[in-house]
Amino acid sequence: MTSNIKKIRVLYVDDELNVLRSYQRALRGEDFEISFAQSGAEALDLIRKMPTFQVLVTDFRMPGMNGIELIREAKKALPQLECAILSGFADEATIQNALAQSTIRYFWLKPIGNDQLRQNLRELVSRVGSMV
Amino acid sequence: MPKRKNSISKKVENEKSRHLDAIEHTHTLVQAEKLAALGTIAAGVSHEINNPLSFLLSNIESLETYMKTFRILIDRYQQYVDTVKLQGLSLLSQDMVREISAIRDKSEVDFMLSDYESLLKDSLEGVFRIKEIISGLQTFSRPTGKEIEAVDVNHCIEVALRVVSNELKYKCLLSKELGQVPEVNVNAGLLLQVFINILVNAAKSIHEKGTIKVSTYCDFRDVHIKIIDSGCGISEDDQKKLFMPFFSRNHETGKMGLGLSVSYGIIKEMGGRIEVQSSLGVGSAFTISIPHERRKS
Repeated sequence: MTSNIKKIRVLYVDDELNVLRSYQRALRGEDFEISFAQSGAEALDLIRKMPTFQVLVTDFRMPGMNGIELIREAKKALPQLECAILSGFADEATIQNALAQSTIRYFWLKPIGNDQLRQNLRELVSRVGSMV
Repeated sequence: MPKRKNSISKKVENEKSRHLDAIEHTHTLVQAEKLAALGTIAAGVSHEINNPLSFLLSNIESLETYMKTFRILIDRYQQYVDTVKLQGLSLLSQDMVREISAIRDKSEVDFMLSDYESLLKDSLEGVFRIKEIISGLQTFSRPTGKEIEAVDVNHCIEVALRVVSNELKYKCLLSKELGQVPEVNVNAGLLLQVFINILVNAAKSIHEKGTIKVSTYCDFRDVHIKIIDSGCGISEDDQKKLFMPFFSRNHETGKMGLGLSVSYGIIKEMGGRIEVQSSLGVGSAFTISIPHERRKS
């Protein structure tokens, strides 16, 4: 089980560099490989270069494209991608709709403690792990 | 003759009362507009505070982990020093050195040591960002006073931009050209209210993506603040009514259009003026001009 989880590749996207750095610290040593991107465009570029991501967690409100738009684009390349939104602000109707259509698995609200962040990610990763 | 005197004094009294009513009415409008603007920017402001809060919370928890590890290591080092003092170098002290090395490797102490300064720097930046937003909101929301003070227009623009940052950053490319301008003697809260009002309007006029340029400059009489947006623009007909109370181009939301008329009144009271140039489909330029030679009253 652990060896399977270890292979799982997670992409985390947030336009706020300080948030990215803080979560990079918090998620060191976790049993999954995690990459970070600062915008939807950067995330899609990473996905194109490395189409091996299995989990995508993204902020909602970002310049360029919002989290749901990013997920929809990312799923065109990786339909099996497990996705969640982690945000301090989101349009409620858009999120409800995305949850109802299974575009995203979860919506998590910021601010979030490190333990909760790790627990949430492990839960999402384990969904992929159980399918590997 | 005394009858005429009475009638004059009554007229003066009436005039005075009308004047006081007008002042009261203006204050009420300013407050009403302030509340309306707060409603517009509240969600954005909460997001602006939530973001630094997110990384502050995470960083403080990470720092707690670092400090626990450092504490364990310091305790082990102390035990090692005490053991060497008592027994000299021994098999036990060698075991302790190995244990210390193992703790260092396992808990990534080298990473923690290289990272803690950046963690503190990021966190302090977050604290200052929250402090700036709160201070801007306090200036903006305090009751409309009459205190006149020397105000740094560029600083006031920066505060306004911070408060409305969330309205702008997702759709506007913002550029600033803040020149060296003298201070103006005005009420800081009211000036901030005008800037916030015009910036929020500029952001609203941009539907998808656009630009907002803010510049400040001065001449021998006035400090000028120019806010140019690449939004939908204002028709010539609407430009004529733009500063009239209750005029709104926001037909869909049904929002009453107090903002610009109140801003116009505030700037007029400061001895200044607001001018607008606009073309439909191209954008608008609002220029606020305030005399910098005005004496404190």
